[in-house]
Amino acid sequence: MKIHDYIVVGSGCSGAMVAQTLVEKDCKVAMLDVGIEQNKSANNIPEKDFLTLRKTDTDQYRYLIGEAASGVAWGKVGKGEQITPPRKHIMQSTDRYIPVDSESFSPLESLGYGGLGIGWGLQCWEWSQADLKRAGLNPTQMAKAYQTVADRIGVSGTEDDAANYTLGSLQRYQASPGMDRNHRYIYERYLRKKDILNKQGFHMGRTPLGLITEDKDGRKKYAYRDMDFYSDAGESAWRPWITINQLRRNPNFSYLGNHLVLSFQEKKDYVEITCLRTDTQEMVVVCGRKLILGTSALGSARIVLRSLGQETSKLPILCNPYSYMPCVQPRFFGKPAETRKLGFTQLSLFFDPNHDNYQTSVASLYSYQSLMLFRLIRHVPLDFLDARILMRYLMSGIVIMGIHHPDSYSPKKYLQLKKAPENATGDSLRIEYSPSEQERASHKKREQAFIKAMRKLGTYSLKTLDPGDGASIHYAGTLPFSSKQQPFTLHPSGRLHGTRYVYVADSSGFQYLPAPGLTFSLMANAHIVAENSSSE
Amino acid sequence: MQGSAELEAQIFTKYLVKKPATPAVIVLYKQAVRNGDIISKNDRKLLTFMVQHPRLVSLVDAGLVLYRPQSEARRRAYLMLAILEASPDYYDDFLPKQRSFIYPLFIGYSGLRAVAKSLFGVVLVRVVAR
Repeated sequence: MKIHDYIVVGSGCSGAMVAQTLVEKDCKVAMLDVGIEQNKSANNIPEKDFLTLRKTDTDQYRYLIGEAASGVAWGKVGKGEQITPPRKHIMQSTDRYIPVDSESFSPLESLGYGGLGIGWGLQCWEWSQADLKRAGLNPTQMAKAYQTVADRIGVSGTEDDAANYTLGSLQRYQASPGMDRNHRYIYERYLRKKDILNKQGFHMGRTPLGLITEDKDGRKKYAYRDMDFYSDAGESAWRPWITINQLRRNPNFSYLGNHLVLSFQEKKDYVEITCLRTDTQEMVVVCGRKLILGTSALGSARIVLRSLGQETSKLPILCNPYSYMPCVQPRFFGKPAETRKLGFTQLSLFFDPNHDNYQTSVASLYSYQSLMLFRLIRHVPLDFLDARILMRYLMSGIVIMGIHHPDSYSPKKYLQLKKAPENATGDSLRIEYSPSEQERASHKKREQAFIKAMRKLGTYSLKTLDPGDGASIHYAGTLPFSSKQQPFTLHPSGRLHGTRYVYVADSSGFQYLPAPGLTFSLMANAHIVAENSSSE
Repeated sequence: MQGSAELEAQIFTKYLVKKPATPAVIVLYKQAVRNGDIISKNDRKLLTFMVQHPRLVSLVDAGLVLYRPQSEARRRAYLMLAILEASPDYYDDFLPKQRSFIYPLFIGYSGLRAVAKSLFGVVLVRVVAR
């Protein structure tokens, strides 16, 4: 029987960071992952800018709308609708292998090679000290870990008015990419009105991104092709698979794909891990001295509940409430398309009503071009001919504002593992997520404040769209950190209480979920947990 | 004789961008609707009516916005719209352009026309789908 030194589960942002930390310490690591890969034909995209491709590429439908228009959604707005055909493998087979049963919560999970990191929006916000403490994280350790992660993946940012909210303690980073005209306009107006806005608790700045603007480690600097929703050409945007592909060249690292981890059992001095082979449907056992779960807060909850739980066991859950607003900037109506553009968020607007960088809400701003007109037209209550004429005129002046709010525990936010013999794994995750009326009212109030602030910046909200609970794709808190030995909690080192060799390195331990996206923080935490696991 | 999907492709293209359909977009449309989505009796009636009266497609679409926005007939027009947008032969009908300062008048006219079409269209759709 082969016993690996370390087994890391999952190839997403957490798994990639854990594996890199361990391999850098000369540890031998095996990664267990389902690892569904991209359809090669969908990603056969010429390295040209969006407008040139639109004019010249006869095969553009393959990546813009998919074969047989399979990427054209219709009906009620569903989860993952913004995912373009080349990234559809993010969601592939999730209904089969990691089903969720919920009327109130619709999460997006991934079994893809690179996990949810395949489609990550790249925001690298540092959490404030107060937010870190409440989440159960050590601010001093996290400050070092943020820098380690930034050095690895390459972060671009700007020391500006919102640097306290965005870059925090980060010292080494590249320059932000240039802004497009919609964002330049907003930012110039912000600088003129910032005194008033600051008094109201608003701070705006460039969003730190996991996107390089100078060549780094064989990756190319960002080329402004506006193909960010479709292609990773040049690897300027960091994705977990970039790191894993590099690790796979190291003899201390082995990647075991088609392995869906179901459960674990601790033996005397090793851990036995039961997996379902997704290619052969066979059950197999893999053994390791230490096991580090880095799937996601939901994925780790499933594995831990199967291994240690009973059907009545309930775990808490956190998820950032999210809404988005199509906004217009009238001065850009009827302007031609812009060639040098980027699809990632360029500006963040923080709302900190108490002026203490704690429990803030944050809006990310995106300009709209490469996601195509047809996605907008679908929501216009006009016939398609007139809707096309209208939206084509408005398109250059459209900005999308996505707002995230913090989330904290409540008895009405929990999950359970229920038996479901009809499913491949024999179970499904039942999730109940019902924020209180006060929480909902507070979110509405903050959204109104954002709308008013954006009006001052010449950008007017058309409507507020609520994609439903779970749509933020930010999940956490299922196995919270605790200094007490309680079941289904983590020691501050990341070790699962009641076990000796099992660690959880994703967002499961966070006791609170600040509004700024969690990915950068979960990667920093993953690095810390990996260090702890190798030293304990 | 041309198949119904090919006729639909031609009619929807003419309606959406005022241009004839190229063979390439017809093929893509046929692939998109090939797998025989279940079509209700009412939708079949509407699609047949649209094929037989191409000049009234705009009115039927506008009427469906109020009457049954998620109908199959409208979904098919939407599929064609996405296919046209993802084609180099029609990209210019979708990308934003520099417009003169009086263009908003045309936009206003289009908006009023759309409302009027919806009001007449909903009556037409009710009659056809009866």
